[in-house]
Amino acid sequence: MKIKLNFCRTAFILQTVTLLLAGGCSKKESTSSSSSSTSSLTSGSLPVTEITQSIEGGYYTGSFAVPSDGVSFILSVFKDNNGSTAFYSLSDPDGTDILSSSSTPTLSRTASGSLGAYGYANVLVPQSQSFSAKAGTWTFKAYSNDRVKLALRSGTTPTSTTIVVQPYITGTTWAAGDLNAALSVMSSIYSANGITLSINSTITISDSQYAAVSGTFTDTTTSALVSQGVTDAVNLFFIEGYTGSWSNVLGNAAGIPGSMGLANAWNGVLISLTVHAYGTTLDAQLLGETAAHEMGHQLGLFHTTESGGTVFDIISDTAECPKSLDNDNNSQIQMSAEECEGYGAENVMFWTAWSSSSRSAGKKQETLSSYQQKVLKYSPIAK
Amino acid sequence: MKYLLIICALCWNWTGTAIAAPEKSEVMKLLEGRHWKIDAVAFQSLGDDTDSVLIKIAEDTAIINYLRFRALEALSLFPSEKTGVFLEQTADKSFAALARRGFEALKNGFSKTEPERVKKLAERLLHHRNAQVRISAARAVRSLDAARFESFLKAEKDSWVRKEAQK
Repeated sequence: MKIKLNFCRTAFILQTVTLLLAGGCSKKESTSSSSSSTSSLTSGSLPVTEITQSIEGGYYTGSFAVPSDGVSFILSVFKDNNGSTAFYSLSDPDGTDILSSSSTPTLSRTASGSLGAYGYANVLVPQSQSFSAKAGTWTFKAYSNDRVKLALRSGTTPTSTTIVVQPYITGTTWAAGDLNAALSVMSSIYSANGITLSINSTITISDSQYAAVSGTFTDTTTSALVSQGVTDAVNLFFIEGYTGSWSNVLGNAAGIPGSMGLANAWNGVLISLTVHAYGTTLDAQLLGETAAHEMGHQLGLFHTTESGGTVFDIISDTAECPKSLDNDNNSQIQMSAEECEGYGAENVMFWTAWSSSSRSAGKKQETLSSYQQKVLKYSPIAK
Repeated sequence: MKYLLIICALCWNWTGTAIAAPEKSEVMKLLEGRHWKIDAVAFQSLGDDTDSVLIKIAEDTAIINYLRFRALEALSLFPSEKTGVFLEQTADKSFAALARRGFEALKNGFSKTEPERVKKLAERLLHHRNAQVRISAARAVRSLDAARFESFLKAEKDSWVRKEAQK
């Protein structure tokens, strides 16, 4: 039995307090009024529907039908002022609330739609081998929000899978062509794991304000950049660098998962180029691995093992690297890839890359487990 | 006399342990991770002379940038004169990405103890050709010298830079 994401617990408690307060306010102002949402279909190959909500008992409630050939869906809740938002419950056609801590399986304290997030949160089904987009009527209760949207994939059960990728580049130090080697590495990684990437031509964004941006997706500049992403692909923004406290991060996704099928501030990942270089010479293998890793987050995959060796993902067939394998002669517990060789360090979604010396010796992170592949193959954005 | 020698030997050994510099590999390990955040307790527990190891990493052009950048950030935890001089030189003479991080490490490490030193460097960097370096310098100046920050806003030609500096 894997341990859920403990690192989120503090955030969860804070978010819950905030959301309960918000919910309390909703209760006070709610009567029998209904929200003004209307159903509509947006453009793009993935059908996206806005769900009509009504207010019952202080919660915003709604429902949607998954057809018999439903493959997957991502249910998203938005708060336009970037305030906290989340779902209170999401019940499948059998009446099981998959966001309840007492359900098995559960996405409680795992999905951003359960934990709560600023401006945008979601629930992806399936996010592990334990879930499926069961046919029938699903119902949800949400805290105060501005809209709930459903991106639903239906059709035949995935066998061969293609994911469209749209790269972008900002800044002036590197040009689109400089990304080719890294994109090739990323494509090879996914191909070796049974997923074909269809990579569009890289779009150059020349506006200098986007050369370096914050890794916070609610930041106005970051939001304006990522909102340029297309709706029928996974958007990879290769920025020259990050700003502020994000400056030395290799990359980050807008969520686990991020948004799919909708143009908004959470519809893409950021990958810093500067940090992946020796001077100005890009390390294509590492950059490709980071792109593959962040894309994995954007599509719903967690780190297989977190740095402390006590927190693992929700997928049952990924190797775990427990803290007992830490073999440093110091008091710090931090699981390096070297210490976790054979225990998940080879996985694309391991929390850290191989050290420089190991990379020089040819060590790579290019594997995904069977169930990780399944999450990606069933992704709403995949075809 | 015998006991005195034993005590001296033990003290010598303990003293040696206390001043030992950490292995470079130990420091490098704390700089790894895709979504890295500085772990102050971990760095400060590495022992004396950690700053020297970090400086060696930060100035080594054969090392990938993310490790050099993070070494700079970690230096903010060791605000010695040696660190201050190194960060100033880095901010003044390096390529823009390294310069900005050198300045930000100086700002984080020295703002409370030597605000004038930070302000002096920030004022120089307000004229840097790289917009992100100017923004970083301007944000520091904003809290140290409101009048100087206002004059920067009047002189800065890029509207988006002015906007970012005020975030």
